[in-house]
Amino acid sequence: MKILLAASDIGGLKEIVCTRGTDTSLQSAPQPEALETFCVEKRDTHILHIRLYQDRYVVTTRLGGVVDIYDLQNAYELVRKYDNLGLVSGERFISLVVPKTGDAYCYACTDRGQVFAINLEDLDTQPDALQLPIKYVEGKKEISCFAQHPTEKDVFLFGGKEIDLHVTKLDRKAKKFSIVFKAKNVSTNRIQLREPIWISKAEFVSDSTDSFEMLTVTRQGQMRYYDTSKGKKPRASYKISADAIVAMSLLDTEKKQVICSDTHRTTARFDYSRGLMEGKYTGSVGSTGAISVFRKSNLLVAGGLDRYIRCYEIGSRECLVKVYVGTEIADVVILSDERGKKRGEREQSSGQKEKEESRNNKGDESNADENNADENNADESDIDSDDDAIWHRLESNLVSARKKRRLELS
Amino acid sequence: MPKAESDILKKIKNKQLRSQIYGEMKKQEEKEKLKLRRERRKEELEHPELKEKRLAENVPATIDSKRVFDETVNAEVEGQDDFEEYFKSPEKDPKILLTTNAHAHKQAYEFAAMLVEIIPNTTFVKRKRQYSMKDMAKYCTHREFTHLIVINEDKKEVNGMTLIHLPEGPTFYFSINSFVKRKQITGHGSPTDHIPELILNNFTTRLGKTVARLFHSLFPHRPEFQGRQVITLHNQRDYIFFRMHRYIFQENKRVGLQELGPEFTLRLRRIQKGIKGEVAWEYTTAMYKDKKKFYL
Repeated sequence: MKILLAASDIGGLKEIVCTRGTDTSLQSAPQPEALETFCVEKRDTHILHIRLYQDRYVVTTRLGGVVDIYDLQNAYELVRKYDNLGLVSGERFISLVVPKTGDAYCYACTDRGQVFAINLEDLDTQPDALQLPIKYVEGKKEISCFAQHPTEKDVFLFGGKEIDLHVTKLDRKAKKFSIVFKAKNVSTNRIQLREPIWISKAEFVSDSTDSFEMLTVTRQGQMRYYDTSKGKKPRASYKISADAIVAMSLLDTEKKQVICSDTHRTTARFDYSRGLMEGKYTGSVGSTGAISVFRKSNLLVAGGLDRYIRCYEIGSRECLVKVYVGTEIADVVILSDERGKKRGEREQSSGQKEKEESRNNKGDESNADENNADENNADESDIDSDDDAIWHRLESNLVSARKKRRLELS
Repeated sequence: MPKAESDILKKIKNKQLRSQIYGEMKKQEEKEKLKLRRERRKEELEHPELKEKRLAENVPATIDSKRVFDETVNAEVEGQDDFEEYFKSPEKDPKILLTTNAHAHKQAYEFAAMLVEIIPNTTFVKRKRQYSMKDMAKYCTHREFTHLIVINEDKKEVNGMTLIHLPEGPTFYFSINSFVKRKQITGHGSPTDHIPELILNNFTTRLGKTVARLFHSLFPHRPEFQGRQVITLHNQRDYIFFRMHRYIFQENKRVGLQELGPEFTLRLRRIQKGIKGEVAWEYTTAMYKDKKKFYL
């Protein structure tokens, strides 16, 4: 598999190519095939966020208020650098939103509520500077999360320190945000004291456009679920950690699963409908600030202050890859995975022998399943067939070995 | 003990007699060992190559030599870190503020007085209850301090020390034990005002290097060699031993060392990014379940 990470000590990107089972802490285990460094700058201009755009670009934000766009296909060559965005000293990007499909605009949001809309199809134009409708107060009120609706490309949410959850709509012509929904804080606690607000990460959890369903995690260790059709206060609030939660990645909105990590060492999968922990992803000795889910092959990649990249299988929580990268990690993303590839792609890369085997396997499976538009199903069957192929090969090898032994004995 | 001898011992039913005979046997054994050693020493004095050969062959297996493989040992340090500024500007010396926990007792102040003596350019300020560590770090940054040290004392015993590198961290917490005051060391000398030299021993992993860089950044760049004082921070199995000596070079003799004291042992408990921010490393007992795995 191929993993791309933001190395904060050197201010650049690192790309790891490795197989499952790679572990740099074990001399007998396979070692990474390649560990290359790109786009190196200084530590004080290190990369904060990495997002991919259509297998073409790597969009990054840097400390010091720079947005860089690199070519994904061409050894991370710099395509465009937006460096005169006019950020005040001390202002930093807190979020970068790159649309999956249908929109060419990506949005980079700062802690003071400035949003830069960059047209990725037309890189020559200067980005539009927009302002979120909130007032920034240094050290007291600042934004810490900004996210886009999965289907409505003009609907965003934001929240932060003493800024409760807001849903806004962008008017592209007027270049203005208007507030659609503003959440209300939870009730006072049992000694009648106000609960502090400090949302660290938030996401939309449903595609519905009439009302919005959102999930937030806080620096107080709570996880809160909002439904705008039912009220302004969170529908559920669970204390899931004793420490501040710093990273969140939605896993499955049907199973209501989410992966969160805190400022200590815990990275765990939660059921947000019940606020229950389903299992921990262990191994890290420091805070894990960067987590990313690779849905195609059901993988979680995590990295943080302990300078290791760890890759887990989401279901079994087994650590598949552990690589020492030498620098702290600010963000991480899996670019590709051999097992997660589509059947066609893998056949091209693998040898002829495997081709024949996979053809044999094809007969077992229904063709309708293969043409299924649902990616998840297709991938599952893909992994199954892969396992079958391995079993088949193993068995045939065993049979031949047994025959040989019998012949030798006789 | 050979089997025949242990069989003899087993047959003796009187416990007193048995233990007496056992003691005699042991004594005899030791005597023989000593005799062998003396003979060997004599032989080796005549033929020094024999000693070399013996030492080369008999390498004892220690926990250190059996250490679990760690890929970060002696790995190249990549990029920059928070201590970059100290190492980049040799003309700027560190400035340290020292304080204790709130409601400290005599022991904490004694320890503080000792640290003021050891670390040059240190100012001690009595802790006020209303200021948190984050507040103090902010005030120190405004006054151009480079480090903030907070001594922690509990039940009249100094048990920990927080070291904050300013202005942007990181924060280290060490536990302190085996503290021996100067007075308790026999034949100790007393230190002078000279800036001491610093020996950082055995910090090999990436984490160890971070810790070493912290201690390095606590002391001014140029030691005063005429003082002939040296501070040693020796790491062994993740325990950091603090010692202070005065040395003298003698002709045709080994280097003369006089201990100046004090002695104490530090153990890294936590490293946090920034000023008490996200945890970069934290001690847990489970980490040391494997007796041959070390982190510094």
